[in-house]
Amino acid sequence: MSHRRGTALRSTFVALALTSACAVFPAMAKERCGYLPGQLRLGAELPKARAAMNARKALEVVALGSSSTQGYGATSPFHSYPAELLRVLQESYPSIKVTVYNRGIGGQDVTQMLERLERDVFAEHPDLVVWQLGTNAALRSQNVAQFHRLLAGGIARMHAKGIEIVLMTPQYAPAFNALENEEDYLAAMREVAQETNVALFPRYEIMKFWFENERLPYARFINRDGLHLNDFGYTCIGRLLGEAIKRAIPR
Amino acid sequence: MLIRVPVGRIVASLAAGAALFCIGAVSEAQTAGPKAETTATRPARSTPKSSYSAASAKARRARLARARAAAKAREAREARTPRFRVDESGREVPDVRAEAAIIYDPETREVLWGDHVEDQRSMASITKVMTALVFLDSGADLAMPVTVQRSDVWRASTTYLRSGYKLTAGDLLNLLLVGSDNAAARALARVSPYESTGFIEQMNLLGLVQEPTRAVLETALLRFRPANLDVLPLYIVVLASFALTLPALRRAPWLTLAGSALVYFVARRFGWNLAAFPEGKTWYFDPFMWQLAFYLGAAFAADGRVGERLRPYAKLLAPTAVVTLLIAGFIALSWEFNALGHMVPDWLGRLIYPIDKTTLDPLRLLHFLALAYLAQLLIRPDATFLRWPLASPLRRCGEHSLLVFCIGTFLSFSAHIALDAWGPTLTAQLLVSALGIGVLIAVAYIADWYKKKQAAA
Repeated sequence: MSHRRGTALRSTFVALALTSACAVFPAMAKERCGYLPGQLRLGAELPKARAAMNARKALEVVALGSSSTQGYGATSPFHSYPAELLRVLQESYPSIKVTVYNRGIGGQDVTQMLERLERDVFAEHPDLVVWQLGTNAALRSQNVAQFHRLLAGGIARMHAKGIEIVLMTPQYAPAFNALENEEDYLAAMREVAQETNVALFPRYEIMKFWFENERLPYARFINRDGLHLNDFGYTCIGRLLGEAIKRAIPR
Repeated sequence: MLIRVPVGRIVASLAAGAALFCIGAVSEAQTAGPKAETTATRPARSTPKSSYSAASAKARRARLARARAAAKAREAREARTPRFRVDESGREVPDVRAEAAIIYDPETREVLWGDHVEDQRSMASITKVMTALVFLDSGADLAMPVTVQRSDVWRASTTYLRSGYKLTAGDLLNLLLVGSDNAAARALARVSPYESTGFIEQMNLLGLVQEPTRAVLETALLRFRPANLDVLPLYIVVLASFALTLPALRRAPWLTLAGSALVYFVARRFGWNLAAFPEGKTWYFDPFMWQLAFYLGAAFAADGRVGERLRPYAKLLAPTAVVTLLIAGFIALSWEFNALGHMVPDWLGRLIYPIDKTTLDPLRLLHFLALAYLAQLLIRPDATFLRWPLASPLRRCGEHSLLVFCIGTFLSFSAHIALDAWGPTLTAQLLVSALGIGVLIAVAYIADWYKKKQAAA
């Protein structure tokens, strides 16, 4: 190899090393979890949660979902969104015993979650289920009509047991946004929520607001795999969800 | 928001815990004997009768209760009578009915007397000291009302609690520490901000600080894997597999690598992974996939001439590697700057995302290979700058890479704790990083010095 090309290669290498060094220091922590006023309105009230709190001085929540419920990509399980949700609810209702069961299993979507409803949800006799889904269905291009049907079926089964539901939409992340028809799954979830009068937590819209309006870079709230949330993302989602649930529980 | 780990407080409570441990060990040893006898002399359960009568059942229960009370009184009497014996050296020592005993002066740290001190035993109720420490450290409210649940009291041998009792967390803490109440321990773990499973993990973390040698053993058994140490079990499993594959690697490195690649692709296709604690979790670094990275290195090393073999293709490979790194750099920067984020076309996003870590996404491997290829192309083994004094720390670390890696793993965990305690400010991050790198270099130099001394001797 000629000497000149060696120098060119060497300078490219140094330039690359410098740019990656810049990427190591992201914008420093900002504790604010932003949202638009309407985004914390879940679209349905949670009277049964209130009834349970009045009657039993307890509120039992099951967080059903995939990796972003499990907390994949967080530095520890204490930074998953259900852990933060528990903290928010317990602080807000000190006289109520709040329990949040984390029933997130990575890689799953509506089909596999329906298979474990009995074991993972009904067995705990929860008052409220936060159901996070849609991301894996979209990543695997599940038929949208089938997704719609299975989701509605799952809601009907939970309603039959007298359980209230909050649906959580997919995350705003590079891997999800790059899909061809990710909007279809979001639309299906909104439709089902309206048809069945179920609360919907718009995680996608909130995170989109962070990216587009607050101009937070992806690295601020998304992991370096381009799909999962990081500690900040999970904590904010847990906190905002807790706030939204509090507003939906009648006084 | 991060969970702050108050390091100072933990150290202080550890010191208190250590003192408590000694006292606890003595009292535990004194009571262990009679306790064991209780189970031995407890009357055998009478065989069920063919017909049931309420009166006879009541009488039988009363008889059993009387027998138990009498046995207990006998043991208590016996335990109060001091007994002595003469040991091997002719000294008169207490004849302890417990299986082991120790008398320890916490001030001088001197063991005054011991019997079967080195025997390994389960920690039993000593874990309650840790339970209390972790619960207090969690910042939970002691006035918090707690209702005892069936799961708390189920098969809890020592407890004053019944399902449905309503009391405060502070009451439970008293029951735990004074009455050694098992159900209270379970209830406290359950109502803590971590819940039961998380509570155990917190106790594990405390265990690492309190009993480093034990923690190292548990880590070696691949059971205990706190945050940031996930890579250790992977390392151990893959290194263990080398014991079997080394002969094949030496004779036919490329064929062995092909086998490793086959495992990688099949495992990715079927989603193989190993189970981890707690239940339902899998390894963060999937060993079936990450083994490929290790076997790549092993095959390259076994062949020994990869650089030379690739030299004729440099005209093609070098630009490919540079373009690969440029694209990777652009993608990485697109996560930091939104303007670039909008520039990544959807088709490219669909192609590359998610760049999964658990399953060792091919792009991660490709990125590493491109970097390694360029590095070996640009930096010859006889390059002059490698002999600069400034490059010497780098070389020393490379010469003791295994040691540096192992120490680095534990340092990263310490850094995690330190940053949690101080908050992730830029100053703290720079300070912790500089300190960590300094320790690694120092370790490499010490290892080098030690090796040279050994060679001389």
